[in-house]
Amino acid sequence: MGITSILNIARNALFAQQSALQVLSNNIANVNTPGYARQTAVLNEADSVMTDGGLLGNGVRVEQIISNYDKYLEYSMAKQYTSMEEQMTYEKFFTRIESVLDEGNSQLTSNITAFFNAWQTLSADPLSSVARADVAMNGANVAQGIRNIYTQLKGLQAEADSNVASQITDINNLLASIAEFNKKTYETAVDGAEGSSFKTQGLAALQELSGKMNIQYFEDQNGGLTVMTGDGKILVEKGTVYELSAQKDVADNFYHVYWQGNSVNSVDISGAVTGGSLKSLMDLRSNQINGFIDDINNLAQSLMTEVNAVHSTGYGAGGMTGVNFFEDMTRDFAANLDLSDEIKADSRYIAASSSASNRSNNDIALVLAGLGSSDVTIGGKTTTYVSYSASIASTVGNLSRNASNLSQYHQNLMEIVKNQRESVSGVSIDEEMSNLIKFQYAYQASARLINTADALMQALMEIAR
Amino acid sequence: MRISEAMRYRLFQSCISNVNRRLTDLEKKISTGKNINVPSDDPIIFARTVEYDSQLSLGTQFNDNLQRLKTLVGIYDSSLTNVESNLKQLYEMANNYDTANAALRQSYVDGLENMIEQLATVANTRLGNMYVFGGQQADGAPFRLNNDYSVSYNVSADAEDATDIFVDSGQLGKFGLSGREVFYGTSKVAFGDVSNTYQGDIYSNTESFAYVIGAANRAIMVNGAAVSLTTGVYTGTALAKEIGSRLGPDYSVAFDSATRKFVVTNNGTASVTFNWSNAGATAASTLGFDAVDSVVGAGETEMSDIDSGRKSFLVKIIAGGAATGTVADRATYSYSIDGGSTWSAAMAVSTGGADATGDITIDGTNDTLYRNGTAVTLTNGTYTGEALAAEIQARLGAGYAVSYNGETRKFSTTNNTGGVVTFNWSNAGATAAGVLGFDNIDSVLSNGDADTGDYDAGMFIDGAGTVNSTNNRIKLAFGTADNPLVASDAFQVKDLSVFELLKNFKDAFDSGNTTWIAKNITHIDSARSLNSKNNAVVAFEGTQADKLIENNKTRANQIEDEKTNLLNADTATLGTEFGVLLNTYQTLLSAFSKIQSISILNYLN
Repeated sequence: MGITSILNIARNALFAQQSALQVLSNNIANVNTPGYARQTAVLNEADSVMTDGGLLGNGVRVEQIISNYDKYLEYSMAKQYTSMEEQMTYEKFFTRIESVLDEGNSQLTSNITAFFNAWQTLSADPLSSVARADVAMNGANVAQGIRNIYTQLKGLQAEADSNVASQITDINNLLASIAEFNKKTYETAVDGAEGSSFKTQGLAALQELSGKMNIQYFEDQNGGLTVMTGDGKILVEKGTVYELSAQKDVADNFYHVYWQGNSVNSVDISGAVTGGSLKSLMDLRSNQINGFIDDINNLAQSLMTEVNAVHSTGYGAGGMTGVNFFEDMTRDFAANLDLSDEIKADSRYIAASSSASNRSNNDIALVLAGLGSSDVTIGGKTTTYVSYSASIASTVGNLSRNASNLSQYHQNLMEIVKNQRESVSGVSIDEEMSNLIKFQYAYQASARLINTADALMQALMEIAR
Repeated sequence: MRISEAMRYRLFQSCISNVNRRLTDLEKKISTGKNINVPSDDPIIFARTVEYDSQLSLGTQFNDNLQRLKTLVGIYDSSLTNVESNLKQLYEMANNYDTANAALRQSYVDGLENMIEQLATVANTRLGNMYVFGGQQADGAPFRLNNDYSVSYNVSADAEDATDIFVDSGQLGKFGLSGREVFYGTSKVAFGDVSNTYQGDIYSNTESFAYVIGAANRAIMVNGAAVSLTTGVYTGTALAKEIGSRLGPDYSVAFDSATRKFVVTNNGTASVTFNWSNAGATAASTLGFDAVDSVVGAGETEMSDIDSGRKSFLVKIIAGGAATGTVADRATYSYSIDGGSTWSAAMAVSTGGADATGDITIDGTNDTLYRNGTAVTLTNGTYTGEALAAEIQARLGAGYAVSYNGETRKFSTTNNTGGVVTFNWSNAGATAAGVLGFDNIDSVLSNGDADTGDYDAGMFIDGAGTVNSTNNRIKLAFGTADNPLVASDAFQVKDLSVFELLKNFKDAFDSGNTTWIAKNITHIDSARSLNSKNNAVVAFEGTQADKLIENNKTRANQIEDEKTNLLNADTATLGTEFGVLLNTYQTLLSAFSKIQSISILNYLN
């Protein structure tokens, strides 16, 4: 052992403190980087050497740079992210559906009530052309209102569907990122700072991916991520990506999620997507919005059927009979509900009487007015038009409120999990600054050690002159 | 637990976002004044308020209907007052006619002509597009004044009724009066033409019109199956009861005496079809139903299409002569039940037994009465009233005193047996009931009590000795005073018509026919009674409309109160909450800035 040993020790100490400082500065620089896991330089005593006097320490070395993260917390976060994004997507769309079906906007129930009230007014004065025109106008309002609701719901459905396709694109991009991070992780093959960086970046992409769909993943022995769908189909393995595709299904004309894997044929895995925003979007467009479209369709069909069944048996002001009030249709009722051509052309076709000769009889008008508060069949159920349309608003209100509550609930849970992750992986400026001071002093002390070793060397040189 | 910078900032952002969300929510509630603005605020209450709004809108509509009804009631009231005033004036003229001089009589004629014109105008009153007395053909004037001052009613039989309107949810109310109701009675009157030579009295049991169900008109077809009514003679109410009992417990049947229509309600759970078009539905015409099938849903009603009791009888003298004396030598008459299209064979006129020469024929068809369940058979023959009374007494045996009143033309039987006696007039075998003038209702007589005929004795208008579906229990007899009947003298038994009455009085005034005036003045009272009844109906409808309007207002207020309780926000409380949240917001910001100041960075050089 000699002065050179001291110099070596001092030099290694400088490098070690410098490395630690570099890790610290990386932490401070990434204090606001989402998903960043703080790193720590692990300093270990260098291997001792045997001397005559026994084992002599050999200074310090940087054992490794580790990322502080808890993989189980990361896993919990991914799961929570799936649920949260799923509910947030529901909340976003249900809020919009609610605004479409909100009585304050749609005026659906009040239009229906006004329509049947107009028949009452006509029944009190069956010869009145003003009352007839009023019936026609209110009928047109009802039809227009229903068509508007249908169009807006269809628009939301199309938007949700096209979001499915764009989500698939985002998913594929994220899968590609993860695969890229895997490659870089393998290339470094050293669990140093760079390897950790790729791992945490991969985890961040994974979090984002988990928000889009339910996935399973695990870390292989080399630190790479293998990602699968919820039912076990490989999406990323090492550096290879098995992309998903969005294809329009012939049966329902919606985007379905397909996975090809290694085979020639692709498999529809839409049913296996049971979480995340993708699941919400598919459920919204195929079931929830479809459900409301069916409700509006049933309402329109019932109105058309019930009103026409009575109206066509009556006689108009000019003695015409067999005229439908609403245009007769066999499908797409809500999309196309409208007054019949005859009624549009001339309100005298509106029938109030069941007799051609008894023109001021009002029995047909009375029956039609009575439909407003009578039990009718809508969508196979016996109810009134007012109860049915009010229940649509109530249903969407329930769904919207539940989605909002669940969204808030999962966001709160997410906060808790994130806080736990932050407590493990987050950067604390206070902590880093205190460590900074620590390593700065150590660096200064190591530099002073070099000065001392240099002074010793100088003294030795003086002896030899 | 380690606290990182991200945790600290995210916590602050989360809290600020939470406070902002609550502030926005409060802002919305304060600006709208409502706690519930969108369905998701409270879906149940939101849906309930939507239904409340619909109820309020409906209530407003019902009130509009009722206000229109009230307007109509006002018009009817004014019209009926006009009718009453004119009838009163007519009564005074008729009363004074006998003593009036020629000039005054002429003024009566002129007055009546004006009266008829005025009432014809009243009868054609309009409200908007509608003739208020036009029933279901209110697009055209229901009444037409003819040159001879007769007034024709142009509304067809199946369109006379006033229409209904909704007065409440699921509740219909009659929308006014029909011209038929106002200007025609449902009681029949008997009168001779003004131009008749005959100056004597006529007698008719106009109150006894009955429905007669026989083998030829007893079947109703329901869902293709025949339902047979029991043959017999019925009032409208009794016939409704009989129909109900034959149809079964799933039906209730009523008789509307104002319109003389039968109302059948299907109380079952499934629709039924009344096959009125089926040739087997022989009762259709009697009950006033058109030959058109009707499908009646559960809980719905089926009503006669036309007035079932409108039948009229026209009588014309074929061969002139006395109304009394040997029957073979008497004047003869013919009757028509189809408005004069067809006429019966001539038959001798009747006095209902009041003449000294018998004209009540007892034969095998009408010779039996029942006493205490036992048949008593009268000797066949032709009797005067008194003679027939003696015959009846003889057949009843000791303990009975039977008399005949030539003034009222009614039989009366007194029970002097010392015990209770029942005359079973309801027994189908009591064939003498009709000719003796008794309703088909048993009479129970204590000792000393008398059973007097319900209506005139004698042959029926078609010459028959029993009630049938031709005569509907109507009789027409002539007085025994020496007043010859002349060929072409004409008589009518029909529903009272106000306009016809006025026209006849005008003709009577014109021709100076004081006898006719004196004999028919009583019909003016009938017309005034009819008018009073209609006035009462109109007043009742007006009162009902007021009550319903008031009920609707009360209900609307209750709904509004309920809505207010459910929806409205306490803005004072909200304002306080808003202030508290604002303070919280400011405190959060202040706290965050302080947290920043305790960072280690503030303490290092």
